[in-house]
Amino acid sequence: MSITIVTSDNEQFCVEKLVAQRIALIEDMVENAGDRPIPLPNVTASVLRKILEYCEHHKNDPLPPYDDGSRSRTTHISEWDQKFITVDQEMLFEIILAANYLEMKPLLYVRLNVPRVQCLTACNAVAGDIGCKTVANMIKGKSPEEIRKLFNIVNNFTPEEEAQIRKEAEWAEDR
Amino acid sequence: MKRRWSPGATAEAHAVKRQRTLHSIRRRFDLTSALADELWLLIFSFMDAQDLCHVEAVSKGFRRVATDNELWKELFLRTFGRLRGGRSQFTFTKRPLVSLPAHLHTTSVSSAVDWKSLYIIGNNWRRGRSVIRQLELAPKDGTPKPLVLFLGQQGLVLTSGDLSFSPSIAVSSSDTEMHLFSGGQIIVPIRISSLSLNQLGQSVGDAHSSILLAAFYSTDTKLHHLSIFEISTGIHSSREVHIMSPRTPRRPITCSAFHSNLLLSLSEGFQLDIYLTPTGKPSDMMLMRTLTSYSSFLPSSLTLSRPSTSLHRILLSYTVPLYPAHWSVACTQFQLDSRGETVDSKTLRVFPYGWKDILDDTEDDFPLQGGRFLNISAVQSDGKWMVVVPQAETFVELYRLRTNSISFVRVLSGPTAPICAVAIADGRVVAVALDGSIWIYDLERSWTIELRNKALGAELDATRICFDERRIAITTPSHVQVISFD
Repeated sequence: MSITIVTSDNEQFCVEKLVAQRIALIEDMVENAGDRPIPLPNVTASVLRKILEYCEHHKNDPLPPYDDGSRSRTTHISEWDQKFITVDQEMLFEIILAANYLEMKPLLYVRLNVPRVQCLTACNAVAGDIGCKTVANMIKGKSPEEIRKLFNIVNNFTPEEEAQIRKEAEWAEDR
Repeated sequence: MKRRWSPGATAEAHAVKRQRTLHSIRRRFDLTSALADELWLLIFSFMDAQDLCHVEAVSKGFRRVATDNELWKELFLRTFGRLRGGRSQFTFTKRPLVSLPAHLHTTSVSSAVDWKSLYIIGNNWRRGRSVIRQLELAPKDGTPKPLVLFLGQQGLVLTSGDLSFSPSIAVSSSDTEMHLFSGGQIIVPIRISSLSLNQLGQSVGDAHSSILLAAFYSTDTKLHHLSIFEISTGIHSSREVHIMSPRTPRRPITCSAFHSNLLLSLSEGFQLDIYLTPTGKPSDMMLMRTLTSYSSFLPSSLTLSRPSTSLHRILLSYTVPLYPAHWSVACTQFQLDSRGETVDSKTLRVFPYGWKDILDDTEDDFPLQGGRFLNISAVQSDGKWMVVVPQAETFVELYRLRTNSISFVRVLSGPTAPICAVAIADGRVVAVALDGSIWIYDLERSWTIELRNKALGAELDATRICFDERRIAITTPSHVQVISFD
């Protein structure tokens, strides 16, 4: 059985039900939509293609369990996922956003029935929030200036503020 | 329209941001603002403290997210396991914690915790990053034994331990200082031999809160009297609320503990006095019972905790003779109800190794370890662990107190000079060696760090240590050193 999804740029995708079930939002919508195509006005075809590629590859994985966040967090990403997420920055951010919107379990984080406030803890549960891990890995070990350059961020601190922050952060540098 | 990720954005704006579509992001194309704060929070949650500090310096928007309290709470618990020095609700195990003996919490732990600053303190302990402040004392005749206690986060209670006709207790915080004098009739020179702060301290949600301090005044040979002072939390005012003289002679008090309505003192003659105020008012404090033991000796330590509102738990750890010429250690636990009646008591002893194959040449001597000592200079316990310092040795033996036994855990080693003082609280041990080095052992996370300390030099024999989760205070007859990690 397959489901039809229509993206924001009016492209139609025919998706296997098992694959679509990995996407919480679509799973919810299927029940109400019946046989009609499911519109996704917030996702473009190029991003959806990417996401479906992920779902296709992981369709037989067990859904990640919910846990309370006591598990240690690693930033390890599996080889396939690593290859999958090697995209330009714009695409990376769009995947994160789309995954957030679609509430895709492993691609971003598990929500299950956890309220939004508990998001941070719930997020910890997931081994596979690869998009965010990738961004985290991009930032790790970089100086503030390098991070600004990486994301094109304007430094909106005054020189005094910046000096103050640097002074306050001295404790972390000394190891 | 060009929108920046502004720092002062309201909650409403955040909600709008969350619902923002990819189309609008494409139009603006600003990558950092493309992701909502909570997604950045998720990204930052994969980072360590050093990276977070770098992120914080990037921009105001990043700073707001990277200093998020929940983020640091998570990082703190991941790194340090739990909060130290309180009965925190964040403990992973359900066991009741014994709060630090000489410390009082003026703020409640659960609310308004700044996790980042706690992380910095924890990190500073771990790395030995500290600031040393030295307070000079003017020693007089004899060998004064200065006493120091912490009061809240800034305050310090200090007495020089000199024999005097008007011994004073200095109570200071960062901006104020005052001296407490007892109004008791003093005709012989006396010194303050023990001090304890009420650990309950009326700390939670009391607007006009004050703290009770018990001081035991002794001559060289006996207890003179005890006083209870009430100190306002802002350290602006104080008054002596109660004076008691012993009805029967007591040897000088060596240690004491104070929790809610129960006050305990242990004398050099190993008499444990239990004072109780039935009404809760300090002025009604009276001696309920005296317990003594013929087989227990000093050095000893006293811990008092309150597992529930109607129960007090006393833990005495002390030295016991081991026939014919050695010493061992033991501990006794009493549970007292709100009227001071014993509900339950239990004594546990450390027994040295029983048998050894004398034909086994692998070790030269019979090891003087594992509960058999020629002499013991200190025994301390925090309710979960017990440390024993053999006299003139460079190591400390660590024991774990269990329900029905005391088991030897390991030797805490490191110092090259003999250890002259040790303190234990809440799973952390601080030891001072005669060469002035300070050793910190974390028993739960199993790390050790040495603080090199040039300033400590002479007179280390009469050293005392007191520490809480932020500071260590080391007293010698001539000065007090406060090492702070915050």
